[in-house]
Amino acid sequence: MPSLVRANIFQRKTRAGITILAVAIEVTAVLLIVGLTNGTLDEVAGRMQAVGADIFVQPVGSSAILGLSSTTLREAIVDKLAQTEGVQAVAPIYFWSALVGGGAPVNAWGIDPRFERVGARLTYLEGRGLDWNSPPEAREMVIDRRFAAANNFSVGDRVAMLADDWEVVGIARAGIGARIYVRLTVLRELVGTPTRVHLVFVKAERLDRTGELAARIEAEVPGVQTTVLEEYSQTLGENIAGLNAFRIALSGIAVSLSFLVILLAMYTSIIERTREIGILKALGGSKTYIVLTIMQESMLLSLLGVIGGYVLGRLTAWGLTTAYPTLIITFTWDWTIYASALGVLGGFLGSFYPAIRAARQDPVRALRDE
Amino acid sequence: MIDAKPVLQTIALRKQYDMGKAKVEAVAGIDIMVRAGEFVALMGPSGCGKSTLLYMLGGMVAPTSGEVRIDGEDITKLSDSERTLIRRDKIGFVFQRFNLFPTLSALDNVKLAQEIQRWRNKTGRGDPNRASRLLERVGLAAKVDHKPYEMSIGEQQRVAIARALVNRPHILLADEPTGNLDTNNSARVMEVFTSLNAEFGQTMMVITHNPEVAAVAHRKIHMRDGLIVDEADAH
Repeated sequence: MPSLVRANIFQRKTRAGITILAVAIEVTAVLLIVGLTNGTLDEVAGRMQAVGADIFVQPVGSSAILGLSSTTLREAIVDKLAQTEGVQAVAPIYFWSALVGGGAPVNAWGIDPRFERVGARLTYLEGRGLDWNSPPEAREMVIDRRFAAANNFSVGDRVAMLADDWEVVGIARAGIGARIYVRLTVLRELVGTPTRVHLVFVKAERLDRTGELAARIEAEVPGVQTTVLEEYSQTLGENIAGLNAFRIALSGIAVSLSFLVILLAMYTSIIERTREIGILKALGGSKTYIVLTIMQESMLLSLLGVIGGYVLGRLTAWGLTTAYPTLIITFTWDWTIYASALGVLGGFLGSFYPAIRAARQDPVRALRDE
Repeated sequence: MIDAKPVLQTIALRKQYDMGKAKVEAVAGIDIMVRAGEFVALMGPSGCGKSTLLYMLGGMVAPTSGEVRIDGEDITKLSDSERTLIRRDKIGFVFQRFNLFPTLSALDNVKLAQEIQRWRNKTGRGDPNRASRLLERVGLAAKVDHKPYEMSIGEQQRVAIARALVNRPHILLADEPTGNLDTNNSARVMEVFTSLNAEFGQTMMVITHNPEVAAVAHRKIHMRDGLIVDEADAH
């Protein structure tokens, strides 16, 4: 590394620090935006797959993102599905987007004993499961560990939902289905739709014929659509219109900000160092030498920013998931590399114009600069 | 130790600046020949065109017409990039304001010129100890790690001289090198110039207002209004 590059970085610490920070924030922003969207999608898909069913059935035209569609199926369809050839078990679900604990809306699922028959195995860390034999007026709720931790709920606590008072009877391991479980019949009564369900989980008799079964259900049961849970993650990504556009737009904004900060930092640095560039030219420094010297400086700052951004991204993710346990942030290598490349690209673009401008300076005028 | 071979030569060299509608002739047709090992003092009042002439000799200003020959090669015919290479390999500059890099130590300032010379240059002369030897030669062995702001102005000018010489230039061009110095520092700087010229036959052209500096030169050239008005050998 040329001595001048080294000296400029170490002697102009504030400017170097701000430039590094700008790139670091850009990398952090990209990593967190993507990490949050990926994490949320993966977590939602993972929780659906962890139910253990093979297919879920919804009214035709419903979104794969549960909660976005309000259309429901008639209870009779559940029985029809159960009788379809190749179906081992079915479990109807009614969900409610509940405002509990003052946080963001969270999915509460109404379930009945059939939920376990499709393969769902809730593991209770504290308390117990829902009591199917309790009287209709009993308001029992099972919540998952993340939701409990985020809201400081314990077994025995009373929680307000749907203008009623519910008792937390159990805390289950996170990662299966919803964050809140209540009895299907109770939830439907409270909402006023006692004979409707939002979706039905289906357990196939033969795993290798899941696709075939899904097609048969759609053919034999009118008004439904099926989703094979093995493909849910992909389906979910495809269903969120503009997800990639959203990621690219936000990443683009982050890169633009970093580019502008680096451009400003390098541009002011060039103006400040006009005389020094004149000296380099007087010493026989070619245009290419001057451009590369300036670019090396910004590339080095960008690389330090990328490393800083990775560390800052990890620390921020840790801080966010500690403060908000229901948040899931997933870092992937491909996006880490992409974010790093964007950081370096921002540095490259931001320093290119100032470098060219510096190389074009008239040496005599530059030497006269005060 | 003056060689008959001309290192530097100008033929009908002119430089005209457009100042709005007016045209100012800074250099109005100059013929000079400087031989290897010669020490030439360029004198004249402010604004007479000395610095413009010096920068044209160094390839930093393109003339309006005429030729500048360095080792027989007319550099006015060369591209800006080719003139940069000539400057890098054959010319050393010393400025009135020293023009050192404030972020670099004395040694790194001198080494920077070597770094530029070696960059993408297969014939680069990469003597790693030459920078420190030259600093020692100009009396700054104890200050190699000092930054310019930690040195006196006389010391800074001696660093600048070491930097100008580190790549063994064919010719050293100095623009009022003692202009900012007091009498003692001027004397030390001139002692460095004269000894380098005497010991190594370094060809030099020095702009100066100082008659004591001019007194040690082999030849004095007086300029006025862009022209040479007097030229005299000192010895």
